Amino acid sequence: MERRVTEMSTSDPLRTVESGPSAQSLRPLAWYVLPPAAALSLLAVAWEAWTRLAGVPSYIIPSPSAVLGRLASDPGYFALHGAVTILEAAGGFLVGASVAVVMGVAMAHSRTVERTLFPIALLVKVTPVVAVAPLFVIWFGFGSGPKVLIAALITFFPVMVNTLVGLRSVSPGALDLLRSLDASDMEILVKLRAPSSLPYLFAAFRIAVPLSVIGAVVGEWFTGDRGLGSVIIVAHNNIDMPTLFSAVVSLAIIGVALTAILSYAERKALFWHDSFITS
Amino acid sequence: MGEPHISVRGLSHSYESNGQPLAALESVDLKVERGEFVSVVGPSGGGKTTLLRCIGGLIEPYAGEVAVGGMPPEEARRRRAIGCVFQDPSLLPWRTVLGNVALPLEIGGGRANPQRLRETLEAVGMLNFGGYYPHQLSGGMAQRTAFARALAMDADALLMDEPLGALDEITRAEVRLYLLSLWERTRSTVVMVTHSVPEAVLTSDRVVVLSSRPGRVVGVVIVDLPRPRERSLEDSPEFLACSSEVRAMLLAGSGVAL
Repeated sequence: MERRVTEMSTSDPLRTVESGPSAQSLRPLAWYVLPPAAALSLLAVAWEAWTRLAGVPSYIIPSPSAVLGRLASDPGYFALHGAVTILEAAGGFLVGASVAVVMGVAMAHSRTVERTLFPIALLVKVTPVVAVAPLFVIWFGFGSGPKVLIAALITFFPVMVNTLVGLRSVSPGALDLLRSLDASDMEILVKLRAPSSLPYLFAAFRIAVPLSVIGAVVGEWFTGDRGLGSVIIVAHNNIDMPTLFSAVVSLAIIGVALTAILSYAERKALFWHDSFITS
Repeated sequence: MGEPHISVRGLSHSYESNGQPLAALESVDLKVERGEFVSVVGPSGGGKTTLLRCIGGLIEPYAGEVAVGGMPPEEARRRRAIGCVFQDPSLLPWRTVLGNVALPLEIGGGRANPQRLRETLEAVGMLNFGGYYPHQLSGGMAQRTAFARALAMDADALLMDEPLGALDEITRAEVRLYLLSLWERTRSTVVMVTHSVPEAVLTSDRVVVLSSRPGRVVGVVIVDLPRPRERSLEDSPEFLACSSEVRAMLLAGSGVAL
Protein backbone atom coordinates (compact mmCIF):
# COMPACT_ATOMS: atom_id res chain seq x y z
CA MET A 1 0.00 0.00 0.00
CA GLU A 2 1.39 3.38 -0.87
CA ARG A 3 0.54 5.08 2.38
CA ARG A 4 3.05 7.77 1.77
CA VAL A 5 3.82 8.08 -1.83
CA THR A 6 6.61 10.51 -1.45
CA GLU A 7 8.94 11.33 1.35
CA MET A 8 8.22 14.78 2.66
CA SER A 9 11.19 17.01 3.01
CA THR A 10 11.51 18.07 6.60
CA SER A 11 14.83 19.80 6.39
CA ASP A 12 14.74 23.39 7.38
CA PRO A 13 15.46 25.43 4.29
CA LEU A 14 17.54 28.55 4.46
CA ARG A 15 15.14 31.30 5.24
CA THR A 16 16.12 34.56 3.73
CA VAL A 17 14.37 37.85 3.49
CA GLU A 18 16.62 39.16 0.78
CA SER A 19 15.43 36.63 -1.77
CA GLY A 20 12.15 38.51 -2.23
CA PRO A 21 8.64 37.22 -2.90
CA SER A 22 9.12 35.49 -6.23
CA ALA A 23 12.74 34.51 -5.96
CA GLN A 24 13.53 31.12 -7.42
CA SER A 25 16.78 29.72 -8.60
CA LEU A 26 16.52 29.50 -12.34
CA ARG A 27 19.02 27.35 -14.17
CA PRO A 28 19.40 27.65 -17.91
CA LEU A 29 17.00 25.43 -19.83
CA ALA A 30 19.98 23.65 -21.36
CA TRP A 31 20.91 22.35 -17.92
CA TYR A 32 17.61 20.47 -17.76
CA VAL A 33 17.44 19.32 -21.37
CA LEU A 34 20.99 18.48 -22.46
CA PRO A 35 22.02 15.60 -20.13
CA PRO A 36 18.89 13.46 -20.68
CA ALA A 37 18.91 14.30 -24.40
CA ALA A 38 22.52 13.16 -24.64
CA ALA A 39 21.72 9.91 -22.81
CA LEU A 40 18.73 9.22 -25.06
CA SER A 41 20.69 9.93 -28.22
CA LEU A 42 23.47 7.62 -27.08
CA LEU A 43 20.91 4.87 -26.46
CA ALA A 44 19.34 5.39 -29.89
CA VAL A 45 22.73 5.29 -31.64
CA ALA A 46 23.68 2.07 -29.84
CA TRP A 47 20.32 0.53 -30.71
CA GLU A 48 20.63 1.58 -34.37
CA ALA A 49 24.18 0.21 -34.59
CA TRP A 50 23.18 -3.06 -32.98
CA THR A 51 20.21 -3.71 -35.32
CA ARG A 52 22.34 -2.90 -38.35
CA LEU A 53 25.53 -4.69 -37.41
CA ALA A 54 23.80 -7.80 -36.01
CA GLY A 55 21.23 -7.79 -38.80
CA VAL A 56 18.26 -8.02 -36.45
CA PRO A 57 15.14 -8.44 -38.59
CA SER A 58 12.71 -5.53 -38.29
CA TYR A 59 9.77 -7.85 -37.51
CA ILE A 60 11.55 -8.63 -34.24
CA ILE A 61 13.16 -5.32 -33.30
CA PRO A 62 13.00 -2.42 -35.74
CA SER A 63 15.80 0.12 -35.76
CA PRO A 64 15.13 3.59 -34.30
CA SER A 65 15.33 5.05 -37.80
CA ALA A 66 12.58 2.64 -38.97
CA VAL A 67 10.38 3.63 -36.02
CA LEU A 68 10.97 7.35 -36.57
CA GLY A 69 10.30 6.84 -40.27
CA ARG A 70 6.96 5.18 -39.50
CA LEU A 71 6.03 8.00 -37.08
CA ALA A 72 7.00 10.65 -39.62
CA SER A 73 5.15 8.91 -42.46
CA ASP A 74 1.76 9.35 -40.76
CA PRO A 75 1.97 11.61 -37.69
CA GLY A 76 -1.76 12.40 -37.89
CA TYR A 77 -2.60 8.72 -37.38
CA PHE A 78 -0.67 8.50 -34.12
CA ALA A 79 -1.83 11.94 -32.97
CA LEU A 80 -5.47 10.98 -33.50
CA HIS A 81 -5.24 7.68 -31.65
CA GLY A 82 -3.07 9.33 -28.99
CA ALA A 83 -5.73 11.98 -28.46
CA VAL A 84 -8.35 9.26 -27.94
CA THR A 85 -6.16 7.57 -25.33
CA ILE A 86 -5.43 10.86 -23.58
CA LEU A 87 -9.13 11.77 -23.42
CA GLU A 88 -10.06 8.38 -22.00
CA ALA A 89 -7.25 8.54 -19.46
CA ALA A 90 -8.16 12.12 -18.49
CA GLY A 91 -11.86 11.23 -18.13
CA GLY A 92 -10.98 8.23 -15.99
CA PHE A 93 -8.57 10.28 -13.90
CA LEU A 94 -11.20 12.98 -13.28
CA VAL A 95 -13.88 10.47 -12.31
CA GLY A 96 -11.55 8.35 -10.17
CA ALA A 97 -9.87 11.28 -8.44
CA SER A 98 -13.20 13.04 -7.76
CA VAL A 99 -14.72 9.97 -6.12
CA ALA A 100 -11.45 9.40 -4.24
CA VAL A 101 -11.32 12.96 -2.87
CA VAL A 102 -14.97 12.87 -1.75
CA MET A 103 -14.42 9.52 -0.05
CA GLY A 104 -11.14 10.71 1.47
CA VAL A 105 -12.85 13.75 2.99
CA ALA A 106 -15.64 11.59 4.42
CA MET A 107 -13.16 9.11 5.84
CA ALA A 108 -10.93 11.80 7.32
CA HIS A 109 -13.98 13.25 9.00
CA SER A 110 -15.11 10.04 10.68
CA ARG A 111 -13.25 6.94 11.79
CA THR A 112 -16.49 4.96 11.45
CA VAL A 113 -16.81 5.92 7.80
CA GLU A 114 -13.14 5.06 7.34
CA ARG A 115 -13.59 1.60 8.86
CA THR A 116 -16.69 1.03 6.74
CA LEU A 117 -15.30 2.13 3.39
CA PHE A 118 -11.60 1.35 3.59
CA PRO A 119 -11.96 -2.45 3.15
CA ILE A 120 -14.07 -1.90 0.02
CA ALA A 121 -11.49 0.52 -1.34
CA LEU A 122 -8.76 -1.99 -0.56
CA LEU A 123 -10.72 -4.68 -2.38
CA VAL A 124 -10.90 -2.46 -5.45
CA LYS A 125 -7.18 -1.84 -5.16
CA VAL A 126 -6.02 -5.45 -4.81
CA THR A 127 -8.23 -6.80 -7.60
CA PRO A 128 -6.10 -6.70 -10.78
CA VAL A 129 -7.89 -4.34 -13.11
CA VAL A 130 -6.84 -6.51 -16.07
CA ALA A 131 -8.89 -9.34 -14.59
CA VAL A 132 -12.14 -7.40 -14.63
CA ALA A 133 -11.57 -5.51 -17.87
CA PRO A 134 -13.27 -8.15 -20.07
CA LEU A 135 -16.29 -7.93 -17.79
CA PHE A 136 -16.57 -4.17 -18.30
CA VAL A 137 -16.59 -4.71 -22.04
CA ILE A 138 -19.60 -6.99 -21.68
CA TRP A 139 -21.33 -4.51 -19.38
CA PHE A 140 -20.47 -1.24 -21.04
CA GLY A 141 -19.93 -2.07 -24.67
CA PHE A 142 -17.28 -1.09 -27.15
CA GLY A 143 -17.24 2.70 -26.72
CA SER A 144 -15.19 4.80 -24.34
CA GLY A 145 -17.19 3.68 -21.27
CA PRO A 146 -15.11 0.68 -20.18
CA LYS A 147 -11.78 2.47 -20.83
CA VAL A 148 -12.78 5.46 -18.73
CA LEU A 149 -14.01 3.13 -16.01
CA ILE A 150 -10.79 1.11 -15.93
CA ALA A 151 -8.71 4.30 -15.81
CA ALA A 152 -10.93 5.59 -12.99
CA LEU A 153 -10.57 2.38 -10.98
CA ILE A 154 -6.81 2.34 -11.27
CA THR A 155 -6.59 6.04 -10.34
CA PHE A 156 -8.89 5.84 -7.37
CA PHE A 157 -6.86 4.19 -4.62
CA PRO A 158 -3.64 6.23 -4.42
CA VAL A 159 -5.64 9.46 -4.57
CA MET A 160 -8.04 8.33 -1.85
CA VAL A 161 -5.30 7.17 0.54
CA ASN A 162 -3.28 10.34 0.12
CA THR A 163 -6.33 12.57 0.51
CA LEU A 164 -7.04 10.80 3.78
CA VAL A 165 -3.47 11.01 5.05
CA GLY A 166 -3.06 14.59 3.81
CA LEU A 167 -6.21 15.87 5.48
CA ARG A 168 -5.02 14.40 8.76
CA SER A 169 -1.45 15.67 8.47
CA VAL A 170 -1.98 19.17 9.71
CA SER A 171 0.38 21.17 11.88
CA PRO A 172 -0.76 20.71 15.50
CA GLY A 173 0.03 24.36 16.24
CA ALA A 174 -2.17 25.63 13.42
CA LEU A 175 -4.96 23.28 14.46
CA ASP A 176 -4.64 24.55 18.03
CA LEU A 177 -4.84 28.11 16.78
CA LEU A 178 -8.00 27.49 14.74
CA ARG A 179 -9.62 25.62 17.63
CA SER A 180 -8.78 28.48 19.97
CA LEU A 181 -10.62 30.73 17.52
CA ASP A 182 -13.62 28.43 17.74
CA ALA A 183 -13.45 27.56 14.04
CA SER A 184 -16.07 25.10 12.78
CA ASP A 185 -15.10 21.74 11.26
CA MET A 186 -15.94 23.17 7.84
CA GLU A 187 -13.68 26.19 8.39
CA ILE A 188 -10.87 23.92 9.57
CA LEU A 189 -11.36 21.77 6.47
CA VAL A 190 -11.33 24.68 4.04
CA LYS A 191 -8.70 26.90 5.65
CA LEU A 192 -6.31 24.31 7.05
CA ARG A 193 -6.85 20.67 6.10
CA ALA A 194 -7.46 21.11 2.38
CA PRO A 195 -4.35 23.25 1.70
CA SER A 196 -2.28 21.01 3.99
CA SER A 197 -3.31 17.97 1.96
CA LEU A 198 -2.20 19.43 -1.39
CA PRO A 199 1.39 18.10 -1.23
CA TYR A 200 0.00 14.61 -0.57
CA LEU A 201 -2.56 15.01 -3.33
CA PHE A 202 0.07 15.97 -5.87
CA ALA A 203 2.22 13.03 -4.79
CA ALA A 204 -0.78 10.80 -5.51
CA PHE A 205 -1.35 12.46 -8.88
CA ARG A 206 2.23 11.69 -9.88
CA ILE A 207 1.34 8.03 -9.53
CA ALA A 208 -2.27 8.21 -10.69
CA VAL A 209 -1.76 10.12 -13.95
CA PRO A 210 0.55 7.52 -15.56
CA LEU A 211 -1.72 4.81 -14.13
CA SER A 212 -4.74 6.33 -15.83
CA VAL A 213 -2.94 6.07 -19.19
CA ILE A 214 -2.19 2.41 -18.42
CA GLY A 215 -5.88 1.92 -17.60
CA ALA A 216 -7.00 3.43 -20.91
CA VAL A 217 -4.51 1.35 -22.92
CA VAL A 218 -5.55 -1.88 -21.16
CA GLY A 219 -9.18 -1.06 -21.94
CA GLU A 220 -8.30 -0.48 -25.59
CA TRP A 221 -6.60 -3.86 -25.82
CA PHE A 222 -9.86 -5.60 -25.10
CA THR A 223 -12.23 -3.71 -27.29
CA GLY A 224 -12.72 -0.99 -29.83
CA ASP A 225 -10.75 0.24 -32.81
CA ARG A 226 -9.53 3.59 -31.51
CA GLY A 227 -6.69 4.61 -29.25
CA LEU A 228 -3.01 3.63 -29.08
CA GLY A 229 -3.89 0.40 -27.24
CA SER A 230 -5.87 -0.90 -30.18
CA VAL A 231 -3.16 0.32 -32.57
CA ILE A 232 -0.72 -1.88 -30.64
CA ILE A 233 -3.03 -4.93 -30.80
CA VAL A 234 -3.67 -4.56 -34.55
CA ALA A 235 0.04 -3.97 -35.29
CA HIS A 236 0.91 -6.98 -33.18
CA ASN A 237 -1.49 -9.19 -35.14
CA ASN A 238 0.03 -7.95 -38.39
CA ILE A 239 3.59 -8.36 -37.09
CA ASP A 240 4.01 -4.68 -37.97
CA MET A 241 6.74 -3.86 -35.48
CA PRO A 242 7.54 -0.30 -36.65
CA THR A 243 3.88 0.67 -36.07
CA LEU A 244 3.81 -1.11 -32.71
CA PHE A 245 7.00 0.63 -31.59
CA SER A 246 5.70 3.96 -32.86
CA ALA A 247 2.59 3.56 -30.69
CA VAL A 248 4.80 2.73 -27.72
CA VAL A 249 6.96 5.79 -28.39
CA SER A 250 3.80 7.91 -28.67
CA LEU A 251 2.67 6.62 -25.26
CA ALA A 252 6.05 7.47 -23.78
CA ILE A 253 5.81 10.99 -25.18
CA ILE A 254 2.31 11.33 -23.72
CA GLY A 255 3.61 10.14 -20.34
CA VAL A 256 6.47 12.64 -20.36
CA ALA A 257 4.16 15.49 -21.41
CA LEU A 258 1.56 14.72 -18.73
CA THR A 259 4.25 14.46 -16.07
CA ALA A 260 5.75 17.77 -17.15
CA ILE A 261 2.35 19.50 -17.00
CA LEU A 262 1.74 18.01 -13.57
CA SER A 263 5.15 19.12 -12.29
CA TYR A 264 4.44 22.63 -13.49
CA ALA A 265 1.04 22.71 -11.77
CA GLU A 266 2.60 21.29 -8.61
CA ARG A 267 5.32 23.92 -8.57
CA LYS A 268 2.70 26.66 -8.97
CA ALA A 269 0.35 25.28 -6.33
CA LEU A 270 2.96 24.29 -3.76
CA PHE A 271 5.34 27.25 -3.99
CA TRP A 272 5.06 27.50 -0.21
CA HIS A 273 5.99 23.90 0.50
CA ASP A 274 9.41 22.87 1.81
CA SER A 275 10.11 20.78 -1.26
CA PHE A 276 9.94 23.83 -3.53
CA ILE A 277 11.59 26.42 -1.36
CA THR A 278 14.98 27.27 -2.72
CA SER A 279 17.53 29.11 -0.73
CA MET B 1 -9.75 48.75 41.63
CA GLY B 2 -12.85 46.83 40.77
CA GLU B 3 -13.07 43.22 39.78
CA PRO B 4 -9.81 41.78 38.40
CA HIS B 5 -9.78 41.15 34.68
CA ILE B 6 -8.52 37.61 35.05
CA SER B 7 -9.21 35.74 38.24
CA VAL B 8 -8.05 32.23 39.09
CA ARG B 9 -9.07 30.66 42.36
CA GLY B 10 -8.03 27.29 43.73
CA LEU B 11 -7.19 25.98 40.25
CA SER B 12 -6.03 22.37 40.16
CA HIS B 13 -5.55 20.20 37.11
CA SER B 14 -4.12 16.77 36.51
CA TYR B 15 -3.76 14.81 33.33
CA GLU B 16 -3.19 11.17 32.49
CA SER B 17 0.32 10.04 31.82
CA ASN B 18 0.83 6.33 31.10
CA GLY B 19 -2.49 5.64 32.80
CA GLN B 20 -1.41 7.48 35.96
CA PRO B 21 -2.95 10.77 36.98
CA LEU B 22 -0.26 13.40 37.11
CA ALA B 23 -0.96 16.61 39.01
CA ALA B 24 0.13 19.61 36.98
CA LEU B 25 -1.36 22.40 39.07
CA GLU B 26 -2.42 22.48 42.70
CA SER B 27 -4.71 25.17 44.11
CA VAL B 28 -3.26 28.08 42.19
CA ASP B 29 -4.61 31.58 42.90
CA LEU B 30 -3.95 34.44 40.54
CA LYS B 31 -5.54 37.82 39.97
CA VAL B 32 -4.61 40.03 37.05
CA GLU B 33 -5.92 43.57 36.91
CA ARG B 34 -7.11 45.15 33.69
CA GLY B 35 -4.11 46.48 31.75
CA GLU B 36 -1.60 44.61 33.85
CA PHE B 37 1.36 42.66 32.47
CA VAL B 38 1.98 39.54 34.50
CA SER B 39 4.64 36.93 33.81
CA VAL B 40 4.58 33.38 35.06
CA VAL B 41 7.96 31.73 35.56
CA GLY B 42 8.75 28.31 36.91
CA PRO B 43 10.69 25.11 36.30
CA SER B 44 10.04 23.07 33.16
CA GLY B 45 7.03 20.83 33.48
CA GLY B 46 5.75 22.94 36.35
CA GLY B 47 2.32 23.51 34.86
CA LYS B 48 2.87 27.02 33.50
CA THR B 49 1.42 26.12 30.14
CA THR B 50 -1.44 24.24 31.79
CA LEU B 51 -2.30 27.37 33.78
CA LEU B 52 -2.31 29.46 30.62
CA ARG B 53 -4.44 26.96 28.72
CA CYS B 54 -6.97 26.85 31.55
CA ILE B 55 -7.25 30.64 31.48
CA GLY B 56 -7.58 30.49 27.69
CA GLY B 57 -10.45 28.02 27.88
CA LEU B 58 -8.43 25.41 26.00
CA ILE B 59 -8.41 22.83 28.80
CA GLU B 60 -11.47 21.40 30.47
CA PRO B 61 -12.29 20.17 33.00
CA TYR B 62 -10.36 21.60 35.90
CA ALA B 63 -11.06 22.06 39.57
CA GLY B 64 -11.45 25.60 40.90
CA GLU B 65 -12.71 28.82 39.39
CA VAL B 66 -11.41 30.74 36.41
CA ALA B 67 -12.98 33.93 35.09
CA VAL B 68 -11.90 36.25 32.29
CA GLY B 69 -13.76 39.55 32.26
CA GLY B 70 -16.34 37.97 34.55
CA MET B 71 -17.02 35.15 32.07
CA PRO B 72 -16.01 31.49 32.08
CA PRO B 73 -12.90 31.21 29.87
CA GLU B 74 -14.62 29.11 27.18
CA GLU B 75 -17.17 31.85 26.71
CA ALA B 76 -14.54 34.60 26.73
CA ARG B 77 -12.66 32.67 24.06
CA ARG B 78 -15.80 32.34 21.91
CA ARG B 79 -16.42 36.05 22.20
CA ARG B 80 -12.87 36.75 21.03
CA ALA B 81 -12.01 38.39 24.33
CA ILE B 82 -8.78 36.33 24.54
CA GLY B 83 -5.90 36.38 22.09
CA CYS B 84 -3.21 33.70 22.13
CA VAL B 85 0.43 33.67 21.07
CA PHE B 86 2.25 30.37 21.26
CA GLN B 87 5.93 29.53 21.14
CA ASP B 88 5.52 28.31 17.58
CA PRO B 89 4.17 31.10 15.38
CA SER B 90 2.12 28.46 13.46
CA LEU B 91 1.71 30.63 10.41
CA LEU B 92 -0.08 29.03 7.47
CA PRO B 93 2.68 28.67 4.85
CA TRP B 94 0.36 29.23 1.88
CA ARG B 95 -0.86 32.58 3.19
CA THR B 96 1.03 35.84 3.08
CA VAL B 97 1.83 37.76 6.26
CA LEU B 98 -1.28 39.84 5.65
CA GLY B 99 -3.40 36.73 5.04
CA ASN B 100 -2.15 35.14 8.24
CA VAL B 101 -2.94 38.21 10.30
CA ALA B 102 -6.42 38.33 8.76
CA LEU B 103 -7.12 34.65 9.52
CA PRO B 104 -8.73 35.06 12.97
CA LEU B 105 -11.03 37.73 11.59
CA GLU B 106 -12.22 35.45 8.79
CA ILE B 107 -13.22 32.66 11.15
CA GLY B 108 -16.92 32.86 11.86
CA GLY B 109 -17.64 34.51 8.53
CA GLY B 110 -16.17 37.90 9.39
CA ARG B 111 -14.29 40.29 7.16
CA ALA B 112 -10.95 41.88 7.93
CA ASN B 113 -10.77 45.65 7.75
CA PRO B 114 -7.75 46.38 5.53
CA GLN B 115 -6.96 49.66 7.26
CA ARG B 116 -6.95 47.96 10.66
CA LEU B 117 -4.75 45.15 9.32
CA ARG B 118 -2.21 47.66 8.06
CA GLU B 119 -2.13 49.40 11.42
CA THR B 120 -1.56 46.10 13.16
CA LEU B 121 1.29 45.19 10.81
CA GLU B 122 2.81 48.60 11.36
CA ALA B 123 2.65 48.12 15.12
CA VAL B 124 4.94 45.09 14.86
CA GLY B 125 7.17 46.64 12.20
CA MET B 126 5.96 44.33 9.44
CA LEU B 127 4.14 46.84 7.25
CA ASN B 128 6.56 46.40 4.36
CA PHE B 129 6.36 42.61 4.51
CA GLY B 130 2.60 42.12 4.19
CA GLY B 131 3.01 40.34 0.86
CA TYR B 132 5.76 37.98 2.03
CA TYR B 133 5.20 34.31 2.67
CA PRO B 134 6.26 32.68 5.95
CA HIS B 135 9.17 30.82 4.35
CA GLN B 136 10.67 34.17 3.41
CA LEU B 137 10.64 35.44 7.00
CA SER B 138 13.24 35.16 9.73
CA GLY B 139 12.18 33.58 13.02
CA GLY B 140 11.78 36.98 14.67
CA MET B 141 9.62 38.29 11.83
CA ALA B 142 7.45 35.18 11.94
CA GLN B 143 6.86 35.64 15.65
CA ARG B 144 6.09 39.34 15.17
CA THR B 145 3.51 38.27 12.59
CA ALA B 146 2.01 35.95 15.21
CA PHE B 147 1.83 38.94 17.59
CA ALA B 148 0.06 40.95 14.90
CA ARG B 149 -2.40 38.09 14.36
CA ALA B 150 -3.30 38.13 18.06
CA LEU B 151 -3.45 41.94 18.14
CA ALA B 152 -5.74 42.16 15.11
CA MET B 153 -8.45 40.37 17.06
CA ASP B 154 -8.68 43.34 19.41
CA ALA B 155 -8.95 40.97 22.35
CA ASP B 156 -8.38 42.80 25.62
CA ALA B 157 -6.66 39.81 27.23
CA LEU B 158 -3.51 38.35 25.64
CA LEU B 159 -2.11 34.99 26.68
CA MET B 160 1.42 34.25 25.58
CA ASP B 161 3.14 30.91 26.01
CA GLU B 162 6.89 31.41 25.75
CA PRO B 163 6.37 33.67 22.76
CA LEU B 164 10.10 34.26 22.39
CA GLY B 165 11.19 30.76 23.35
CA ALA B 166 12.03 29.57 19.85
CA LEU B 167 14.22 32.56 18.98
CA ASP B 168 17.97 32.89 19.22
CA GLU B 169 19.40 35.19 21.88
CA ILE B 170 19.95 38.24 19.68
CA THR B 171 16.57 38.06 17.92
CA ARG B 172 14.97 37.39 21.25
CA ALA B 173 16.31 40.63 22.71
CA GLU B 174 15.07 42.54 19.68
CA VAL B 175 11.56 41.03 19.65
CA ARG B 176 11.34 41.48 23.42
CA LEU B 177 11.71 45.25 22.95
CA TYR B 178 9.04 45.15 20.23
CA LEU B 179 6.75 43.34 22.59
CA LEU B 180 7.44 45.83 25.34
CA SER B 181 6.80 48.97 23.29
CA LEU B 182 3.77 47.34 21.71
CA TRP B 183 2.25 46.62 25.09
CA GLU B 184 3.10 50.04 26.44
CA ARG B 185 0.97 51.46 23.61
CA THR B 186 -1.96 49.06 23.78
CA ARG B 187 -1.99 48.34 27.53
CA SER B 188 -4.02 45.20 27.15
CA THR B 189 -4.02 42.63 29.93
CA VAL B 190 -1.19 40.15 29.39
CA VAL B 191 -0.29 36.87 31.02
CA MET B 192 3.02 35.60 29.65
CA VAL B 193 4.71 32.30 30.42
CA THR B 194 8.47 32.46 30.09
CA HIS B 195 11.67 30.69 31.07
CA SER B 196 13.71 33.84 31.11
CA VAL B 197 13.94 35.80 34.35
CA PRO B 198 15.31 39.01 32.77
CA GLU B 199 12.53 38.85 30.17
CA ALA B 200 9.89 38.51 32.88
CA VAL B 201 11.31 41.34 34.96
CA LEU B 202 11.85 43.71 32.04
CA THR B 203 8.31 43.37 30.69
CA SER B 204 6.10 42.74 33.69
CA ASP B 205 4.34 44.60 36.45
CA ARG B 206 4.37 41.43 38.50
CA VAL B 207 6.20 38.13 38.20
CA VAL B 208 4.45 35.03 39.52
CA VAL B 209 6.79 32.17 40.44
CA LEU B 210 5.48 28.62 40.24
CA SER B 211 7.03 25.59 41.95
CA SER B 212 7.99 22.36 40.22
CA ARG B 213 5.21 19.84 39.66
CA PRO B 214 2.58 20.06 40.89
CA GLY B 215 2.71 23.79 40.26
CA ARG B 216 1.90 26.01 43.19
CA VAL B 217 2.47 29.73 43.55
CA VAL B 218 5.76 30.14 45.43
CA GLY B 219 5.56 33.91 45.50
CA VAL B 220 4.96 37.07 43.55
CA VAL B 221 7.57 39.74 42.84
CA ILE B 222 6.27 43.23 42.17
CA VAL B 223 8.44 44.96 39.59
CA ASP B 224 8.25 48.64 40.46
CA LEU B 225 10.32 50.01 37.61
CA PRO B 226 9.36 53.12 35.66
CA ARG B 227 7.73 52.85 32.23
CA PRO B 228 8.38 53.13 29.39
CA ARG B 229 11.16 50.67 30.00
CA GLU B 230 14.28 50.36 27.94
CA ARG B 231 17.01 47.84 27.57
CA SER B 232 19.45 49.99 29.58
CA LEU B 233 17.25 49.28 32.59
CA GLU B 234 18.67 45.76 32.68
CA ASP B 235 21.86 47.10 34.26
CA SER B 236 20.16 49.11 37.01
CA PRO B 237 20.41 47.96 40.65
CA GLU B 238 16.60 47.82 40.96
CA PHE B 239 16.35 45.48 37.98
CA LEU B 240 19.06 43.22 39.33
CA ALA B 241 17.43 43.18 42.76
CA CYS B 242 14.10 42.09 41.29
CA SER B 243 15.80 39.43 39.15
CA SER B 244 17.69 37.94 42.07
CA GLU B 245 14.50 37.89 44.13
CA VAL B 246 12.74 35.93 41.35
CA ARG B 247 15.71 33.56 41.05
CA ALA B 248 15.72 32.91 44.78
CA MET B 249 12.03 32.01 44.67
CA LEU B 250 12.59 29.75 41.64
CA LEU B 251 15.30 27.87 43.52
CA ALA B 252 13.17 27.59 46.64
CA GLY B 253 10.23 26.33 44.57
CA SER B 254 12.20 23.76 42.62
CA GLY B 255 13.42 22.16 45.83
CA VAL B 256 17.07 22.60 44.94
CA ALA B 257 19.31 23.30 47.92
CA LEU B 258 22.33 25.38 47.05
